[in-house]
Amino acid sequence: MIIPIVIVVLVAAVFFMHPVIKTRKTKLDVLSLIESTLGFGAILYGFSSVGDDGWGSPIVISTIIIGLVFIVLFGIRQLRMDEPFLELRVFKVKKFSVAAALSSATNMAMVGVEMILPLYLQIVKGMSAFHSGLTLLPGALLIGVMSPITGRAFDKYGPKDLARMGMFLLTAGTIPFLFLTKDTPVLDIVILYMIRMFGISMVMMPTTTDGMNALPFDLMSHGTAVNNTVRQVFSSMGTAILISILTNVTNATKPGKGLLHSAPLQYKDDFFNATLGGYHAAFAVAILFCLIAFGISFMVKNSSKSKSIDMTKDAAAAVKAGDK
Amino acid sequence: MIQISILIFAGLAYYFAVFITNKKVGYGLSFTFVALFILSIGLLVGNEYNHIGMEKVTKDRTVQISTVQKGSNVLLYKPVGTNGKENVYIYRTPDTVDAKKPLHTKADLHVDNKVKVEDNGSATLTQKTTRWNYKNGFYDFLFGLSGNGNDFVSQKNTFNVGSDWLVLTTDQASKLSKKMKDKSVQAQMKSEGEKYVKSTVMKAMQQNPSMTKAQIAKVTKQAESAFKVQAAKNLVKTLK
Repeated sequence: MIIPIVIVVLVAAVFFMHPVIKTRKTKLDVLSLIESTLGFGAILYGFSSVGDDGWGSPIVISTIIIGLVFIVLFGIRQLRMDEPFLELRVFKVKKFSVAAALSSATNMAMVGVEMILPLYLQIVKGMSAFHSGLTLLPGALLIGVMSPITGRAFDKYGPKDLARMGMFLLTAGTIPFLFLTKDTPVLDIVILYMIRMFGISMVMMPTTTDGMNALPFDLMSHGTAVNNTVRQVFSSMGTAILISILTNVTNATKPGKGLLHSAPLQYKDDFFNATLGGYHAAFAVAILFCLIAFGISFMVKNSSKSKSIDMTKDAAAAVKAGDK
Repeated sequence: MIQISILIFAGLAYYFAVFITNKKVGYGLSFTFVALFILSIGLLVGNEYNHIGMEKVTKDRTVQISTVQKGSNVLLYKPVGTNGKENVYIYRTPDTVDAKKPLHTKADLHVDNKVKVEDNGSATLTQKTTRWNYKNGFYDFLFGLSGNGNDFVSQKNTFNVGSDWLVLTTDQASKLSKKMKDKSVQAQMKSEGEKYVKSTVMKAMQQNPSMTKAQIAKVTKQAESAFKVQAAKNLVKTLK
């Protein structure tokens, strides 16, 4: 299903994307590629295995350590290279680091729940995949609707209030999921998910733009690369953690197979309670991610340079300069 | 209503925090709506998890039941698990006697089924169903959109049948009908039946020598059906 969409996007991108910043040719450094693949891959594998093997298993611990080692090697190499894959010096700019951290934490909180909630809807409430997607639709649409409003708010007022209110709404909208039962009304879930998305819409775009604006011009493309990488890594980790906790807790509290034969109605009830316990635990961790994001949001400050209007002027001047 | 309030409070809290330049006023208003928002969420969770604003209401209803299989009075049940505590009862009502599929009790952990044997002339099913209802119109208005105003809690089913009813598991019923088709069993039943009916009629005539033909016919019929039931019950015992 996705392939046609991908093809359309690829073709459209070739024809419709305009180069805003001048691009140059860079060489591909193979060692960095290997180190980053092994490093991030190993860590991701470690976090995904937690569901099957538990936190104390040798596979989980060893892969995470191997991953960390390679990431450190990768980082050191990047800092020493002339033309690095990921220019890690962008983290020296505090505003950028805060923005990257906030968008990563937000993404973790968003993507993880986006994965788990449809599982709950389909398994516990027996909804079809179509209906579970429909439940999430109003929230997703809300982000689209809010984007222009958020953009204008950011231009005029800066990111501080947006970030804090957004993260508060995200956290407050996630806490009720701790109390999911098999009879929880679907409307409640739709509304709470909309609140979460409302919060996220206030944060993602403004903070990222804010962070980018803080970078000196020549680091901007690196900023994008670093931002995207960090965001992807953390959201993958977040999803892996949430799903492993869900599976772990469910398996630990499942009723014994014997009960299925002697009292199947009791078994069904106990089984649902076990899965609900799993979801509660996973959402508890999701709330933890939200709280982390909420905390980071207090580090976002307004400054006179936060307005993106300046950016466009800078970019126009730089492109002119680069053309000479 | 509560869901709509949640959205409105969130929107207003956002608006006042971000768009008002006078931060004292803005934050003050925003905080109020934040508090209202938190309160609404608390009520929402309270209602869906603890049934705040709701009460359990038990409704009774009694229906007549008919036999599941034509021929004799039969009530069937199917054990759902092996420990004997979970059963689904299969029955028919006078309107569904000829329907393709008979009715059955809900297969739910909170459904309790009992059979009472009482010779009072009728066979009935009494259902006591407990559901969650909103306490009054205010709570219905507040939480009604959730659609949880009729959630099932538990049910107690009591089947009242006379002693001429057979209450069998679906297993026993199929084994019984197989046995009844057996020629030797049919022959045996015929001879025993005739003996029983003869002796019953003779006893009745001894007590009342001036019985009319109609009265004799009545006694004969009663004896025949009583024997049928008794014979079936005996056969069922031999099935084990």
